[in-house]
Amino acid sequence: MAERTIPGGQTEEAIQAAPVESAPLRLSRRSRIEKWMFIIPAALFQLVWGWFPLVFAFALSFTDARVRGPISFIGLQSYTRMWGDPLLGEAFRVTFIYAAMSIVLTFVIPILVAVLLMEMPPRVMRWMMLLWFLPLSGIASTILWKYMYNPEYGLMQGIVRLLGLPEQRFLNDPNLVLFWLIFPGILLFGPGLIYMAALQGIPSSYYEAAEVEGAGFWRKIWTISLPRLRPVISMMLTFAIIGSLQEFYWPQIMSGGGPGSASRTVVMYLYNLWGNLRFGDSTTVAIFLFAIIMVITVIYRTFYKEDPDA
Amino acid sequence: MNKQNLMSRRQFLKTALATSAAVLPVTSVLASSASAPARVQSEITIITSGWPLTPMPTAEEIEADKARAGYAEALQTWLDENPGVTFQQVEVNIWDQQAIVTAISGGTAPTYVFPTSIGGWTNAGARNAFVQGLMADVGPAIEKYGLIGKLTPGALSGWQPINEIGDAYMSFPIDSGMDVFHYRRDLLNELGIEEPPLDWTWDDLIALAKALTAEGRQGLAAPTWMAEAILSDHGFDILSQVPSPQNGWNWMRDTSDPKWVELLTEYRKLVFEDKAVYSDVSYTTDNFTNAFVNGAVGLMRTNVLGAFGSAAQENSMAAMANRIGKPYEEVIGFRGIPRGDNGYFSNPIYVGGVAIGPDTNDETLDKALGAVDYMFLGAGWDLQKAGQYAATQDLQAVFNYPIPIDGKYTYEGVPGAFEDAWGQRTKDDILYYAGLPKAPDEALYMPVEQNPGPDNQAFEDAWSTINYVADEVDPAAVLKQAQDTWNSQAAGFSSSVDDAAFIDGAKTYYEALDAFWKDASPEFYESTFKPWYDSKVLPALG
Amino acid sequence: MEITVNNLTKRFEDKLAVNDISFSIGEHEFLVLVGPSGCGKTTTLRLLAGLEMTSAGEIYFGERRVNDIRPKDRNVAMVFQDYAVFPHLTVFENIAYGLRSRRVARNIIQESVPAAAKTFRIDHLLKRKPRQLSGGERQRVALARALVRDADIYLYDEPLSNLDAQLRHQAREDILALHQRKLRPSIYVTHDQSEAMALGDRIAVMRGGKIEQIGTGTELYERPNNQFVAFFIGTPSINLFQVTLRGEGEVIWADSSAFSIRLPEELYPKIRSHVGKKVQFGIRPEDLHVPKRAPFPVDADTMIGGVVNVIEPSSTGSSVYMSTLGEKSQDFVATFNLRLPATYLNKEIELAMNLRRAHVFDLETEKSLLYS
Repeated sequence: MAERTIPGGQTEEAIQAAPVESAPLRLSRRSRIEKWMFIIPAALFQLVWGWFPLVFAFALSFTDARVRGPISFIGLQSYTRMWGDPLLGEAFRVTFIYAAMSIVLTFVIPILVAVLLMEMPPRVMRWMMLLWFLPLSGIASTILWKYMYNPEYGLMQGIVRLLGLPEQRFLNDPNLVLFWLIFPGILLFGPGLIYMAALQGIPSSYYEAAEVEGAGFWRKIWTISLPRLRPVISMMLTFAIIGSLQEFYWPQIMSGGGPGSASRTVVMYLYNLWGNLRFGDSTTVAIFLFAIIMVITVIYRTFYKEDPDA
Repeated sequence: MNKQNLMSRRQFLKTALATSAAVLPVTSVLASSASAPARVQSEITIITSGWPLTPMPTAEEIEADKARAGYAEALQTWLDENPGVTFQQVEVNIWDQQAIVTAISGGTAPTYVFPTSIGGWTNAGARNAFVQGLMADVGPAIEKYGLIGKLTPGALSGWQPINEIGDAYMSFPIDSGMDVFHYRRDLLNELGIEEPPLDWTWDDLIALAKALTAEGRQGLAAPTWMAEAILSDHGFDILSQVPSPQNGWNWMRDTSDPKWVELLTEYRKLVFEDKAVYSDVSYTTDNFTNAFVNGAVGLMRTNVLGAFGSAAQENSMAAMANRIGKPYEEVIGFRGIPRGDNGYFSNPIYVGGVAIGPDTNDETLDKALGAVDYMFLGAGWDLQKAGQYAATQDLQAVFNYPIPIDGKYTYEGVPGAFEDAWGQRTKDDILYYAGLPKAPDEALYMPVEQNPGPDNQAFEDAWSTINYVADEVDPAAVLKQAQDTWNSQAAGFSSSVDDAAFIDGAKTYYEALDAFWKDASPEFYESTFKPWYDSKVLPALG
Repeated sequence: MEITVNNLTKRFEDKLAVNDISFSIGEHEFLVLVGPSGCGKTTTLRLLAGLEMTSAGEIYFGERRVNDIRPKDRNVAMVFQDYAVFPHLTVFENIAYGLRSRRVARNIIQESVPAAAKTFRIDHLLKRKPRQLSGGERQRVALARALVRDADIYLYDEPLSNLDAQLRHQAREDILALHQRKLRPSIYVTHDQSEAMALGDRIAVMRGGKIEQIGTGTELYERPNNQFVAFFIGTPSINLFQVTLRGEGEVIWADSSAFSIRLPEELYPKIRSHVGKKVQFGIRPEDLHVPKRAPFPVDADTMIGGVVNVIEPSSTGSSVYMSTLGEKSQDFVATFNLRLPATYLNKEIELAMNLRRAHVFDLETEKSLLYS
């Protein structure tokens, strides 16, 4: 976030007197009505598509809901059943490992890479950015990566052989399948571009001042780049935690959750339960996941001070 | 339970029709009923995912696939007779259980659905889903269109018991298929390998897979369920579950027979030592079909319904034969499901039907099935076929239904018959396998379950592990874990069927099985079924 | 320790930002680099700090050639235009930043940071974050950060330009106080010549990457080498008139459309070569006098006439903006230490020029004929 510059004309007293949240905008009556006209649809949308399904899912988890016919209240049956389900425990284990790995590999690494890249000559930087903007996402990339990961003729095996490493089974390896699912994300560098944008917003005088004050490369990164990135990191980390705990699409398409249950995430599992007509069980798992994400997010938001300048 | 037999039917249908699953997070699904496609454009709108009927083909589509001209002509005739009806295409993967159940529960399902996919690819599961209200009763249409009288006795006996539930019907029959193993007959001749006998066994299959393996080619294309198939073809589906009426859920799994470990070990040897299996956790049906028609695989399990694509279709076996430059029968051979070395065998023939989504009104249901009746079993069928022939002059393009449920192997306006297109031997062999005795289906004896129960995930994980994990897998431990997981999950469920009704049903089912096997395969009966029946089932049923 | 710069050049792609400049700064000297924007003054400062690599030339800190030494090892202190106070660090941490970088012992930091803060009257703000400070306070944080350690050279990059007029004066005092305390070579960059005059022991006027002239404020003001320096230094700027030098026997006249004046004899040796040519004639506004109050003998040959357009009162008197008479009228300005009554507006008046303080510049080279 860029430093707020104080316009030259203000006196010291005036600046001190002005609170950060300046006086609320006084809106005319008409504008106030307009304001509500903008807010109400969004709020309704949030209510109908955000909160209603949540409440509905919560209610559903206490029933033996089915598509047709009577629905009866079954109390905590789904909860006790799913609590004791070994496959759900396994799915949570996979999900946590996946989330932890993907945060370290696709969240932390891009921060470092972005920070290091900013030190590169502009020409190198441009090329790297171009590489990352190549269309490596979506359906096309699942086909591409399935091909890359083929243990027989895939490009990755070729690279492994070239490096003289032992042959890999890639997605067929239950110990490494999660890593290989995350690996394309490292190359994709998605959040890195956001960090780079944020880094570009840091006044260069901070770095120059630090250099003059005797800071070396790492001290500059540690005392300037990272603290300045903190609001962005915080936001991205929240998304990353929530997103990775809800991973579904990529493992579903790439490995179908296999081999065995090695890459089956909680959302994949609850999707399967839904398809197996276990609506109550499925929503119960959704509630479990919701609760865990909620707790993690609350803990994180409580202990992590977002604004570095306050 | 003959789950895996249907699996490759699913694979075929998937290839033939659907592409992408409607993947929606659960919460939005629950609220998405409001977003169902508008259904009141004309008086009656039939919504289809493209199966079994598509909307009227466009001129470009007919240009691209001339055989569609016959379809267009027939459908137009029907539409002329039924004013006010239109077809609308939607993108829903009706072959994916999760996707179609999601769509049905969200109110976005098409008019036509496929019952077996909704039921998790078992007949019992489909019946359970029907009872839960995921499909509409098609009984009135069965009666109105006189279906009972149109089917061959074989088709009728294959369809009616499974689809008649109380006084309702789950699906409307349209075709019949079965799984077979297709292989490269030309390669066998080239390599001097003797063709396997009609009653071949898994030992023959394994030997053939090894023999067909060479540089750049693997013997057997194997999706995840192939590990299960070797067990199922030895009677695993029957022998691994035992009734347990004393529990809340009335079934338990028991995989303790060392035979299963022996078979899985043998299979893994084929995969990981002989490297004779074309298999990867990321493969989909397309990979296997492509591998077979491109010569990277010598042996592939397919459904006969998908096997008779004309040479005009890319990726068809007929097209491959054309590329090789030999008649179809010299390039492609097939055998039915191999027998177990314990004498077990199965007849995987089934009659496929179309079901109707539960939100369909009576009038739409009637028109939707009227159209199906006309196009598959009425005058529309011959119109289609004659039109196809006129447009292509290709008998292979016309005769792609090897087991017609109405017994018609010739069509009005088409010179020739199925055997002229594909060879007499092909037809004879199919009829041989279709005529094998069929073991009693559990779904016909057990009372219909109304509650959801444990699904097959634990075992599917086991097959996946067996199939893909290269090192340090102990099949015994994998099986044991699947069994224990399933049983522990089952402990959380309770059945809607009371114990007495369950025991009654189970007794008749197992008695029928006992009688069947005693007659159909004395070897299996004596060596395996009887000792198991006496030691596991009878004590459980008291 | 003296700072010496020899033939320093900085090229940015196709642009020469600093073009072969040389100067030196004495051990206790406060040098101001002044010039219009884009003149290369800030680049020169950044070259000294090591924030830019030199394209050619040499920089010596004492005996040490620092061209290839990174900023962090040059031991310079710098105050930035935007202060570059780190917003995520407290005032204390900001001031301590350089000490921590250099791994100064903890107890020394604990002592010296509050002391530096006290010098600039921000010792009560040590726990605050910069966002809670006013602009002036932030500036003092930057000064304290520079003061807290002993640098070999102190650099200031337009440190006052973001402050309002009242604070500027105080800040200037603070900077001079810092300099007095350290007595190390200091370089101060500004575009404001009055600030330069107020601060600098010596001033270097820059233009187009070159130093036009370097000297004390008085030197630059009274004896500018060229027309640019003469024009840049002093407010209001010097009045320039294009004149033709005309020799009439021993006397040299300066003729323009507005006036014809006789130049004093002491100028003749330097301007004789230009007789018959056109030159620029410069006279500072303060050297125009109301004839009655002129501190020198007045006659008709030293007079310039004009119409009063604007009278701008100032604290010491007034600035009077006028236009010459004649066809091609030209604006000029005079400053008086008296208040000119408003009744003179639009009136024609005559002013006497103190020709001993006049300047004459070559029309082409713009060099001063008198002082170069």
